[in-house]
Amino acid sequence: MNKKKSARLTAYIILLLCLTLAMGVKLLFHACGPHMAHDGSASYMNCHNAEQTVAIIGTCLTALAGLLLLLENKTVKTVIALVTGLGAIAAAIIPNTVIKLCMMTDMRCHSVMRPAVAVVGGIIAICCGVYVILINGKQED
Amino acid sequence: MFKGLAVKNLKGRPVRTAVLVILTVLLSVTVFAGTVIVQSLRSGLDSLGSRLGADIMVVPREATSKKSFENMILQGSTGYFYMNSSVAEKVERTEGIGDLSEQFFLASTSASCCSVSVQIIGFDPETDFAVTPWIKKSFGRELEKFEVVVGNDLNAFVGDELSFYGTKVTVAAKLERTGTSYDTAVFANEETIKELIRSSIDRGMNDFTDVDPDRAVSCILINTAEGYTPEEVANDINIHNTKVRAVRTQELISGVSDSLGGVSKIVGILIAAVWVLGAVILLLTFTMSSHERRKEFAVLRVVGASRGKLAGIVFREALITCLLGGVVGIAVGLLLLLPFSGLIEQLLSLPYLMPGAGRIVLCALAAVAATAAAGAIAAAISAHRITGQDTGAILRGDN
Repeated sequence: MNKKKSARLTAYIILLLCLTLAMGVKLLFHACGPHMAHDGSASYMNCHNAEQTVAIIGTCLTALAGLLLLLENKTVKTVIALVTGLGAIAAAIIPNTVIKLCMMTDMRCHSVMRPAVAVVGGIIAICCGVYVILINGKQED
Repeated sequence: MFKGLAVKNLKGRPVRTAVLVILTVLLSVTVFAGTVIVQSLRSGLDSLGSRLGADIMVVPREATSKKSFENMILQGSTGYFYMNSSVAEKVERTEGIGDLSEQFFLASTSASCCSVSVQIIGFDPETDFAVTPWIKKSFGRELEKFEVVVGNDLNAFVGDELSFYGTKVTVAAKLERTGTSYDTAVFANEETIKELIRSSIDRGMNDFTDVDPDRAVSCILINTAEGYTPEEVANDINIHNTKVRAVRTQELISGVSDSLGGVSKIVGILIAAVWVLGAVILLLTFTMSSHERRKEFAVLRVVGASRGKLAGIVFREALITCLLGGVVGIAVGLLLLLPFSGLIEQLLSLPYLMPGAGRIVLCALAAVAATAAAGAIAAAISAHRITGQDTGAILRGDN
């Protein structure tokens, strides 16, 4: 497989991972549910804000990853890949580092959302690095 | 001439190589993750034993019948129960008691950051022998009034202010991870806990039934004196005090120990099954591949490759595949085990304490070695078959 094909495949993987981050944080590895008070009223805890922020960042990253597949200019694609990678790192550190999560670390936001966002964000950042290397590397004949 | 042939062979058949690597990744992940999980469960059980820190725990009889006590100690669920300190004084007179200390339990309805119940454990610093030794590891001096020490699983840090029943307390220290229910508890001295109990009563959030809050005790921890066994002392307390129940900590742990034994066995069988299955699949793949490539090997023999050289090529191919798969498997295993340890602990519902970095490295090396061994066995058998074949017959198409 030549570098151009590998780069395109990597871009597809990045798009898929960004989509996983955006949708997964709402559907698969979401934060704790609403807390029901004694009077029956429901209130969201801090971790809900972290979930919303990651979902928004994930959506933006998905759009950026889509551009990697549509655009042709190498420099623009490099910049977009770098921004996507940095955005993914930002998303990874949002739960608990930027926005504090719930009190107990055995709660869902700590045990599921935080590690899942960190892992997916980390993999996106690595893939973006690989993509930049692939599109800027010497083309094989 | 034959230098680098193994690598070229692997690169030349990317699909076959990818399938073999995926298989070895699976093998490596299973061996590595399984071993680390079993190690973590064992560390958790050891930690539970040492953290309980007493030979006998005496609690109100109704607490043991409701299972709340066992759940609090082993699973970290919150709760409280009280007995009058006069009962405790009666227990103190039992023969064979070495050390004795009282504890007070209080379950908060909400902590400051979010509405989650937290177990608050109060202890008497003058008599305590169970909590103080490991609080001292994280905190040099004694706790003062309105100071608390928080378990490692609580998202609170030194200097943070927490509010329980409207009373503000300061986090003085955070404990090291124990893998037990104590990771989600808050520790306070007797003065602070009595203040919190009073606040809870003022807000109508605590039920002391007929027990005077100032003379309330939740649990008595006992270490037996020399010459007495915990069983003797516990039986003596149970016979002479109908309102309480003395529970040997070993008795409490034995339930967890049995569950742990069961989980360890299942994980062990799973590791062995996957290893055998992986080795068999590798053997089949290498044998089929060698059979397909018998003409290629025959040509290599004709151009001067010795039987040993051919065996070496097959062996190197297997080793490269297994080492690559083994290392990737360890990376995948670490990516699953380290960030998701909290989730694994919840799913297992057993004391779970990840081993140190050194032991994890040892487990990783063992997993890579097990994966390489499976590949080596498979390669050795297929290499033996290749070297035993008649080159002339293969080239003539007789075989």
